[in-house]
Amino acid sequence: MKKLLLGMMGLLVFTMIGCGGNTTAFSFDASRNITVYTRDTTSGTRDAFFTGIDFSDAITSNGVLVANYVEVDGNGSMITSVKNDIYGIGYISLASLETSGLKGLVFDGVAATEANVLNGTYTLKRPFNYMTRAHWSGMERERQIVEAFVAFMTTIEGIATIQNKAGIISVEANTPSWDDIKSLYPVCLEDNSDVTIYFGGSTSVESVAKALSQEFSQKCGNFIAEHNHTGSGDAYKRTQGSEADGGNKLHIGFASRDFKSSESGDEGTSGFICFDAVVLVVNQANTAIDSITKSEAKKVYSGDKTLWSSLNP
Amino acid sequence: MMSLVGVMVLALIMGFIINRGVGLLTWDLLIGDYHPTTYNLSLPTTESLGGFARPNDLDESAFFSQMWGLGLMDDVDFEGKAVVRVIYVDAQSPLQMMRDKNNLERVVGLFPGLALEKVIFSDLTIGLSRTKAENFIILFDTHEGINDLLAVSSGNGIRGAIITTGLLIGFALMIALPIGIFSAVYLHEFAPKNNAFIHTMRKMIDTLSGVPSIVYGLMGAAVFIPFTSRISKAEGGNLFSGALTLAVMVLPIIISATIDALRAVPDDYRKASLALGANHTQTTFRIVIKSAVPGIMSAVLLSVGRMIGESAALIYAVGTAIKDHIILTEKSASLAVFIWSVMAGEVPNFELACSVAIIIMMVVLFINVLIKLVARRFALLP
Amino acid sequence: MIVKIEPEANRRTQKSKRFIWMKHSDSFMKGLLMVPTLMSASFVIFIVGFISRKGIAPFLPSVYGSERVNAFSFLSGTTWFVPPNVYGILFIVINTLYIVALSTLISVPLSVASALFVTRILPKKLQGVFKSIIELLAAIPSVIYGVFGLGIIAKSVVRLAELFHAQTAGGISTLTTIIVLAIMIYPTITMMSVAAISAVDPALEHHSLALGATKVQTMTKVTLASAKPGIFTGIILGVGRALGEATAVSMVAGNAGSGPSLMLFSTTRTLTSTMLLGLKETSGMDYDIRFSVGLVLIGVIFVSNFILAHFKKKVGRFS
Repeated sequence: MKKLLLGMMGLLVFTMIGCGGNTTAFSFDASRNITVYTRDTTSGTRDAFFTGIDFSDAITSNGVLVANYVEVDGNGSMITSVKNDIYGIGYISLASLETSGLKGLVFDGVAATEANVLNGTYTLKRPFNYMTRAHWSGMERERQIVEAFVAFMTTIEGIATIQNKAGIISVEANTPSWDDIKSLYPVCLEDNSDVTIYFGGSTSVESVAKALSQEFSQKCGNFIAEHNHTGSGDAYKRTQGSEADGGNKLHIGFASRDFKSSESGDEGTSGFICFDAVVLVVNQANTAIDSITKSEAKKVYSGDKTLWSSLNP
Repeated sequence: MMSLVGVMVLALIMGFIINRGVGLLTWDLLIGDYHPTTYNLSLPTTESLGGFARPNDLDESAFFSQMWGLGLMDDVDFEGKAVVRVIYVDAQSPLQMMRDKNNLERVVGLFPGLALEKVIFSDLTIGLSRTKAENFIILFDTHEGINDLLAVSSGNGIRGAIITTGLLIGFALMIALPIGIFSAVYLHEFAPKNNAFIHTMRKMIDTLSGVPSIVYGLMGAAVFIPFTSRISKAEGGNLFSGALTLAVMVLPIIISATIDALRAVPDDYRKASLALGANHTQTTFRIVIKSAVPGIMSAVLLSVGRMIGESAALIYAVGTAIKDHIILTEKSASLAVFIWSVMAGEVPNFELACSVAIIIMMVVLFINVLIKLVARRFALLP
Repeated sequence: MIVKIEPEANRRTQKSKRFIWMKHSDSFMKGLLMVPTLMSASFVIFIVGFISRKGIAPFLPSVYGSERVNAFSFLSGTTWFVPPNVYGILFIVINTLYIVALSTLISVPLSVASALFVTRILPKKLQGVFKSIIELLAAIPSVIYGVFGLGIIAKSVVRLAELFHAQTAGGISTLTTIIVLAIMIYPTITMMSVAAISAVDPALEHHSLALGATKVQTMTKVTLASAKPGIFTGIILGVGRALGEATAVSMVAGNAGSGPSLMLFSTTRTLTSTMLLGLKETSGMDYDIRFSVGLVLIGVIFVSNFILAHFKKKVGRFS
């Protein structure tokens, strides 16, 4: 019984140490090394980031990066990691900056805001694109629904939903409303509850795509939307490429980057949805910098600058 | 003293999980759909706008539109994401007369509990939930007609994951139990002793238990998915390929536990039966197995425990799509894969993951108690 | 079995018929039961075979032509992935073995001490409670251990590193991985040790005590010595689990691109974290190479099992 009590007390102390660790922050020491965080090589965010800082060698290779970089799997682990490391630097999607608890850096003198992306001054951005199937044999109803879906993405209703999921795009004066154009898509008046449409591709586009399909299913005969987002590379591969007819086939795929020359699908099967911005982030406790230039960002990732104090504030 | 360190770490982990997950643990979570229901509404004609009074019992932090008689509040959903929650709609509010956009005859009033996603007013001004409740109310108070309104009911229930887990375990046991029990019976009752071939077979089965689950997953993806796609209309991962993978995974558990159970059957039973003129087959199936049933039961429970917590293998062999309506030939997520899925998304959800972990732990606890009860009966039998 | 009483006239022929049937049914059953046994046993070959087939593909000129990976540099390389085809796995194997060895070293004394405490000191009633807790721990999905490692252990490691004036990547390090694994295999080894110690004949201990040995002496020299083989089985299982653990490890390892990283506070990469990281595409070299890593992992597990089993025999012999 005594031991049990002792154990309880020990537990209490241990827990308190643990909790103490959460609240006490260390003061930032600029003479320390920068810890560089990166996404893995299949990530579209990584592609957009390294393209944006003119370091395209690093898109598919870890070999050119600074030694001791940390590779993380996903936007979420990137946020958690940089939050844990006051000497860390990483890059995330602008959509998640507000809730991340991290400090977003001003890039080349321009703050990462939606307005600056739309007016073209913030350059660390990437497009969200879609690609549909080119061959629809035996999938006539699916083809019509996807066609209607693509049209829906450019209506006021569609754009509003994209905006609500932090996609960056604006409504223009000539943007139609779905009510105006839905008569062109008679398939949406039928009952489509036995039709499954397969969505997939980039994980970054997932929240936008899910919100769109969820709303559009209501507007188009309650078709079933199945999402399986595995990476930008699969957008072409699973609609028109090598997996277009297997178990992984998609009716419409999304990419969070431009399609490569090797991925150019048939005429008229792909298009632009909206922009997303990538933003460089550091820990809130970081007092060394609030902004960074393109060339400095490259030097940090290539290992030419390894100390926080070597960066110009 | 050292063991206390162990116990402390254990308690710490338990505390960590329970602390984070218990908040979400409700009945709605267990039986609810994962995917929210969407309400797409519009208001063709607007009458009786304005003049609504804020009810006295409305929450302090809520915002109220006097023009529409609508109360909104900033809230978070199961995933911890910010939403704008409808918390009050006046009985006389025109919002009570909203129509389903796909069937304008149908009146579907806005009701409290829904999360308001977006509103497009009749002059095409857009209101979004991203901009928080206060801005929504400002827009409502300055506009008189609604073209398109989107609201969703809260989703994130795990009913689909529970059913998937049950189906997977059921099918896997249907496959693994006969193979496993018959193998054990052969190895313990029929096989010649001190035979090199039999010895090798036992070694191979033992080795199977050391294979990490991620490797089982690779096998499921490389073998069982093509196999099941050929014999059914499945395309890609499905429940059958998952069940087959799990079945192979728990085979060594079932075999070794059954052998233990057979070993515990006193030899006198066999001798008595043989002496009474029964042959080897009859002895085995009518006497030995019957006495070993409680032991085999605990083998079943052990393997259920292993399967319910399995994620790495199923990620490859079934897929990670979370479903509400389970179709056997399509992908679906079990409870453990559900945890993986909500953690692997762009915005990981620790709380929901921990809640599901608590459910898994409770099931395992329940199974443990069952094993104990079975074992007690087992001890009384001979 | 109850033999029915037959009319006297038929009894003789019936009996001989039955005798023949019974004799045949036995060999028939034997053959029938052999089928599932062979099936169960062949699954291992099945698994290794299929993974080999995919895992060897990256090295074959017939599949990947000039892009193929050089098998020798794959096995001896110290850098993971420089496009298009440099994949070195040696440092990952070293990291993996290093991490697993250290976590086992931490976990074994803790587990054995806990097992002794539970079986020999704790009252009977509490034993059941303790065992249930341990079994529960073994059932927690590994992703939760990953979250725990990232949320609590990594933070403590940062503080520890500060004491040594070292810098960690927010606690993502070799040490964190070791601690997370040590916690994860603790239930496995403890459960097996409890079983092994419970099976020790109490008479042995009574004799030792009667001969004047103290309680501590008896525990270490008699009880543990005779439970050694069982404890070793637990260690083998624990090492197997540590080697094969993927989800939690990939969350706290940091996935360094080159190595080996033997420093406790630096980031690292293990075989399983390599297999899991970025597994999104479903064809091409970057996907197939994961099967090669899986093949190496199977090899490492078999070899370590073999070595440990050898040790176990030795230990058993000299106790």
